[in-house]
Amino acid sequence: MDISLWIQGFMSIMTPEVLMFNFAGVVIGIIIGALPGLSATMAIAILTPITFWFEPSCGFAMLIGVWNSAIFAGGISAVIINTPGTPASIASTFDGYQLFRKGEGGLALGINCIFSVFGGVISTLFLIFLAFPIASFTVKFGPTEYFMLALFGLTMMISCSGNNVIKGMLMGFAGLLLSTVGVDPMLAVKRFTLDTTALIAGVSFLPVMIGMFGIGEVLNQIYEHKKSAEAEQLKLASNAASKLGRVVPPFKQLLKLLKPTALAGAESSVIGAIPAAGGDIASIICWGQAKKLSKHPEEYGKGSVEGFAVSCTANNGVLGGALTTMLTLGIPGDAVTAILIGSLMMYGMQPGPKMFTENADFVVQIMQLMLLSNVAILVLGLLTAKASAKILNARPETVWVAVSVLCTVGAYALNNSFSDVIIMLLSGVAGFFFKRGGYAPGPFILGLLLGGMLESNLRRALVLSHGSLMIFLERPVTAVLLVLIVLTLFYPLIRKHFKKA
Amino acid sequence: MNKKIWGDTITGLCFIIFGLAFLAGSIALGIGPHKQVPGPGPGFFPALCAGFTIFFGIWVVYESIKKGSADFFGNDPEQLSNIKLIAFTVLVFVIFMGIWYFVNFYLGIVALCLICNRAFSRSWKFNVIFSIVVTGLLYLVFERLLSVQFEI
Repeated sequence: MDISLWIQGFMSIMTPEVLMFNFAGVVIGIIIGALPGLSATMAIAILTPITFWFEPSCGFAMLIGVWNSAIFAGGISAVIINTPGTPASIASTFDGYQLFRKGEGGLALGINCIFSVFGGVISTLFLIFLAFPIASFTVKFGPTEYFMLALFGLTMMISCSGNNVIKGMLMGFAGLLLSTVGVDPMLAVKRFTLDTTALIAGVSFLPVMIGMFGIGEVLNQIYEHKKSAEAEQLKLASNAASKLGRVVPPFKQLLKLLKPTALAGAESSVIGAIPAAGGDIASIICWGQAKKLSKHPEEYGKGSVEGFAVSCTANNGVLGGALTTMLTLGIPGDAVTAILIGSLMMYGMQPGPKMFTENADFVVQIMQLMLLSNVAILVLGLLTAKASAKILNARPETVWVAVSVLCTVGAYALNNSFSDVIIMLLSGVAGFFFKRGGYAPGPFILGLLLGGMLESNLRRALVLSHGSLMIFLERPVTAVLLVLIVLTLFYPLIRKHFKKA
Repeated sequence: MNKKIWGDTITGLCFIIFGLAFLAGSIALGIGPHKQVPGPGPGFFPALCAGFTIFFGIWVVYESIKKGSADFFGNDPEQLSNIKLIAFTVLVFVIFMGIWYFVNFYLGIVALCLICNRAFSRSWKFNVIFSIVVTGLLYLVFERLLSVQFEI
């Protein structure tokens, strides 16, 4: 790692514009993350087209700021109204709300801030120390390895996204099918364009993402909305500020929590590197693990400070791992990194080993922006801990209309294309029905994103092998990935069979 | 049709039709080796994906008929009444897009905000202030600052 790259990167991000965009991103992320139903994915999906109007450093500074802070802020509503602000904060509800009921809400908010930052920093260090060595290993990858990696990513997404693998497979293949609309990647022949110029570039992945995670989520929230439950939540939120108490934990307490949270940070960084394994999975696994190793496991789930700190560390701890997979392999580690891949490609950069040679300076900037965002979260999070509880007073109806407008503008601003707005609305309606029926949108989105990569590498591999499929067994990395894919898909069925027996 | 199987059956059928449409197109494009360039033709990968989509679509329909469908909408009367609100919201969105396309974007946004807020039982005072603020912010940030042109 060239030290001059780091110095250059640091000088690039320490400009007023980049700092301002990062700060704005952190503030937006705190607001969005704290509101139940709005996720980091939705925020990133809506903001990404808007950031294309700015320099890549400024755009990414905002997106990285939103991503880190939204995950942290999900813990705020988990503590105050027992509802995770983002899916990654689900484990924070196990102990966070109990702490609030005991009169230690302020302490819980402080721990949420400090240990989210701790997790974020550990995972960023994971990214800094491992990304370059992994990238130098993956330089040797050929079309077979890239095909299998993309397929592995899709398989992981299918297996992690709900109880029904068959529905996940259906969504994955439907997404891959939709990705073939446009121009053949090898022969430049038009496919399924219905003789319209709007479809020659294919179905753009971002409007579909904005539709499914934005409009689709809004429609779902309208459906699930119950006036009685809303009144209860608003009542809890409005009384919260007066019951919070001290925010900054005592130093001795912080030291006691260092060991379990450091372990959670390391575990979640590894989990984050696995495609499709997000903060929700990591925080539940780390919470369970910490409970087994704890001297006081009986306190977990009843307001354990240790349990809560571990879940906060874990949900931010996945981010660096997810970024490592995204930057080194070009495979998204989670939904947000899927959008960031699209964003990098719009800037003319190709995630994967080439990023570390052609755009090494930008890679270093991303790593430094991760650290910068965590510093901003620590300062802003602690200063505004009690005030941030007021965000929960916002009526969901206001949020629905605002998000719908932002989704429309975001989808349009991408290419100044009205067709993208139509695609977004259709995706939103489809996303609502998919959610109701248990059809996870993740495999569909990933299929749409990775379809081009899968197809071009599959066809290149078949050209190299003169049509023989044995090429996928001859190379060791490919063969190992194939075994992992088969295990991932069939392990739940095998386990079910042995349980019955 | 038994109500308990309709959800996944209809969804599965939709995916089967989707897959069949792409399969027909893929066969027309050519699946086998291409004449000029070695390797599979442009229809190969779409045909493969279409085949799997149809296969899993049939599986979903079969499981739905045999074991019953997922419960898409539940039985809660308050939630079921929200379906009308959802349909209305989507209709308002379509009207907004029509106003945008044929008349003006900002007029469409004002209509969207006014009608949706009213449908969500917000007061007229809040509704008017919200619509003005949102429209103003969109104009200032997107058109003036970022030079996004909303005219179609």
